[in-house]
Amino acid sequence: MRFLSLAALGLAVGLAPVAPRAEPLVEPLAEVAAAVGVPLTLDAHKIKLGGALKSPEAWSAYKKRFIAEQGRVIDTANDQVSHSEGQGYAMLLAVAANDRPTFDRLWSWTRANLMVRNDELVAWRFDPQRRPAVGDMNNASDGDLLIAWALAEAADHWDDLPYRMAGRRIAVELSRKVVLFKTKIGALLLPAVAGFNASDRSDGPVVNLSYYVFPAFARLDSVAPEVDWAGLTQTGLDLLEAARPTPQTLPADWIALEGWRARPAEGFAPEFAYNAVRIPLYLAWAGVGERAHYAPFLAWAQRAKDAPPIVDVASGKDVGLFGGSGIASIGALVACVVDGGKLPADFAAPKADEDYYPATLHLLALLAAQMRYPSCLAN
Amino acid sequence: MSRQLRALLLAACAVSLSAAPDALRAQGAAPQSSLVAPASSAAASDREKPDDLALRYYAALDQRARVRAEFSRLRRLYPNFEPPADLYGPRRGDIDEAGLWELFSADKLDELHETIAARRKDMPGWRPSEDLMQKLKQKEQRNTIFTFWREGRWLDIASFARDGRFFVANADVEAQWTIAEAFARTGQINEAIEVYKAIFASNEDKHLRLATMQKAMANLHMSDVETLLAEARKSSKGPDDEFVAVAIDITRARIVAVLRDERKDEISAEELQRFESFAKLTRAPQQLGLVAWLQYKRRDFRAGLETFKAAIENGGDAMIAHGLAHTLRALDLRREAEEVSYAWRAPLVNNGILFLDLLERELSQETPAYVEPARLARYAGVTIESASGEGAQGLGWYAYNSCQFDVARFWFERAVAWFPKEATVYGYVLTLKRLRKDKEALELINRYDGLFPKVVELLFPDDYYHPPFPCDSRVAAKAHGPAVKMAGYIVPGPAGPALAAERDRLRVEIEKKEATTPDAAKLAAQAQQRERVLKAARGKFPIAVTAENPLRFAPLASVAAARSASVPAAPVVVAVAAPAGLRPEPAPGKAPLVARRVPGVGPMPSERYGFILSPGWNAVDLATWPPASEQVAPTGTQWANQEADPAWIGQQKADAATKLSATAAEHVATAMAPRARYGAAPPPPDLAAVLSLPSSKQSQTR
Repeated sequence: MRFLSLAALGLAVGLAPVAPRAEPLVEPLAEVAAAVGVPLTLDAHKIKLGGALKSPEAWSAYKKRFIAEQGRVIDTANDQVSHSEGQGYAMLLAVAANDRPTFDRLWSWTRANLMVRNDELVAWRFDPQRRPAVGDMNNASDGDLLIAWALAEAADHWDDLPYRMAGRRIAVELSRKVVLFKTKIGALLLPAVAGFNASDRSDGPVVNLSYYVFPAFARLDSVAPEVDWAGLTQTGLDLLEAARPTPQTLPADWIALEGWRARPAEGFAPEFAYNAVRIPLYLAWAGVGERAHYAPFLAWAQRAKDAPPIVDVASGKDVGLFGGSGIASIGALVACVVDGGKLPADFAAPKADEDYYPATLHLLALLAAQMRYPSCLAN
Repeated sequence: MSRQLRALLLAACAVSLSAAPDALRAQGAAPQSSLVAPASSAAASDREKPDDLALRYYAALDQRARVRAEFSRLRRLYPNFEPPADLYGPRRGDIDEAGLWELFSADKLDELHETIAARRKDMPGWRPSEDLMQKLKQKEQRNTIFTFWREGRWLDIASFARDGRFFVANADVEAQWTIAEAFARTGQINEAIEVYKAIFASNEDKHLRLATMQKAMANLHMSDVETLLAEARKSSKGPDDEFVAVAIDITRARIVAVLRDERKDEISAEELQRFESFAKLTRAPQQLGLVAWLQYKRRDFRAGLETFKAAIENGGDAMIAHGLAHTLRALDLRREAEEVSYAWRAPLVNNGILFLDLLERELSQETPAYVEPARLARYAGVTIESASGEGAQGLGWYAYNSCQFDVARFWFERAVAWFPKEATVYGYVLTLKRLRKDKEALELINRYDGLFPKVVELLFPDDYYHPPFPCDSRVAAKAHGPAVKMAGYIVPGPAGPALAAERDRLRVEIEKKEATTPDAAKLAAQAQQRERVLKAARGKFPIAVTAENPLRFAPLASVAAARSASVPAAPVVVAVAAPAGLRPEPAPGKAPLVARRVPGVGPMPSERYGFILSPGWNAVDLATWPPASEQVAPTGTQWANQEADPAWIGQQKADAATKLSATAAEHVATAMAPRARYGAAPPPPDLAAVLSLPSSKQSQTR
């Protein structure tokens, strides 16, 4: 089964020696969207992250609320614990905000406290109230990807050898330990080294599509060009289509692929929830995906603009609301990217009372818009 | 005759007078158009030929009376005049379209549309020839394709071509190439192949066929090109292989396919030989590099070494140097590999990493070998410059095992800041104990309680045999040469030969003592052990400590000029300002004294002494065995495949058998033997109850 996608296109274009297009292709989107079936044309050319965040106040506010002086990112809604993912997000934002001192703090804390595994990957969970603070020797592939990507961007932006070396070590280790490159459906990214493969679970392998950090795949070749990152992008897009019974069905957070048939994984709520909500953010941030890939997310975004729901993917029924208005920023971004609407006027000013997760996603959505869809922000 | 008609006649004359091939040059599109106007439009006019324009005009309007009148008029002027056969037939490009064709040829398509519209208004019922309209449509489609092409809109080209089959079939070759490329780039491989096949089927031009094959090779996987190659040869006209001119390109693409694991078939020795000769003849480093990487992949390291060297000598880049360093490593010429990777570390980070990893193993050996001071110095320089936890722990162990504890502390501190894995923290605590920094050692043991059994074991020893440590004896003072202080770091002195001899002496002594000690005494000692350990741990474990690892060290940036020197010059500290505007850490609660179970970690040594652990974050209350550090990565990953691939291990065996590589033999032994670390034995039977299968990260609660 071969799915046509813009991903191959985007990456191929990235590799070809063509100059980046001068103007973003967002303008014609409204017009294009009006015509059903017209291919979605996104801008997937490579954009460096360094200095791309144009909202210094939003970054200052974020630091003050979520980054402790030692460089630990605090999950304020979750017992003040930390995750490798949160460290990665903040490191990305620090590069984008051109804030090297903070980046250095974040990375120094991360390696000193989470790189306790016997390899180059990062332990995923840290709770300073517990003994020991590291709660699990397992990694989380998205955390590793985000950290490696941030290091690669930092290395490019500040021309720094130690960052490049560390980024390469993590990226290569990840590709060697959690990617099944030659499966029937292409390159499969396992969510962690332990616990998700066919040998670990009766419904395995299990994947989490929100761990396919598409914008990271597009940039990690700067530290690990030998890895088939494009293959991961392709499989991510393929799975997005394969994992849903109808074109309008939202994907579940955790998807079992036993027998290469996709269904919600056992032991997890069959819901489109806090994990999967990041999928459209990553698609848009990378500028990949076709209209069909965005369709369920667009419908979801348009259905309840201010209070986006968590959805039971089997019944299609709403089972609750996402906490924090920051999640709605992803819906707004998707609506603009696919449908040509404008982002709300206050999009560039995240709310001051948000918790870590929605606040982070909001800032990332803002960064994605500033990097790739400036016309969405024009008022 | 109307004004309009007169204007047309004038235009026709203008064309007939100035018709020249130049006028047909296309403008604009980057690949030059090869569409041409039909010959009729540019035909030199026969001055003696009757002017039948009016006749045709009346015929077109079906005004038969006027047609007859005009015919009579012409007959009077030209007695032999016959009405054209197609007078009432379908319109063809004709003299009255000359102006239109001129616009067409000059790519003034908007103007052409306007002119046609204007004429249709003036001459109701008139329409341009099918020929012109067809060619206009094709040209417009072509322009669309190349507009997309300029903007890199491959997907648009592909869908445009899919919706307009007629166009693809009739397009010129340049447009077909572009369409095929668009199909290939958007993953529509079969469609791309069909376009290439169509080009071969309908073109006999030798150069064009060659160029098409080159395009196909640039855009398709080699396996698909092979299909195309077979197909194209069928329509080949010449007696010889028409693709001989691109044979080298074909072989190159096949080599790349092998290197990418995309090709199973062997490339024939004869074909490879031809490519090698070509590479050697041209002395192009990238071609030589391809041959060398192929030899490396086939584990023909001797040949690979020569080819990599030739590539370097001819200007090969840092990636070629990387291949050379790996080949040297595979041949167990580790010293040479170290030199190459060091020399090429600046342009390519892969080489810096390889340099650090190559010597790390040698440095970490229990009985360290002599390493030249200059090599130690540059290793320390690269380590501190790149903030490498791997390098720092290598230096830490080297210093520790050669009884240089202050130096060991310097490097272990950094190693624990940069990469605090279990073995590294263990080395750091051992060092602190040697330096009588018991408080700091206890802080670490308590911080990593629940996470690093090896570290906690320092308070709760196991019953296993541990080799003697030579630094305990009188040899310690002369175990190493002098350490060298640099600006910002310290280089361990080289380990001396006394260490190995002393270790052997101690081993014999201990064995002798063991043999002469009565069994009863041994049992009595074991019985007392438990009490002794518990007593020693009192007040030291468990104690409340901060959960976070506070160690931080910035890398030192070396002076750029020092990069090429064999010994780095004094480095300078990278000054990174303190970040502003961060929040304080939330006030800590009471630090817990009971460790929790951490998924992926084996049983804690303290459990043998009655300490219990609380359940893990996911409620698991059993230890993991084997622990995460001893587990093979998931089946299907590169890591697991390399571990399990019998061909890989078998090959190493062969290497060992031919004395190619002593370390390779060591690899085989490690790969075959159960994986174990630090001389640890499998857990004793009484711990079986606390063991469980590896647990998994179930979900991230939010």
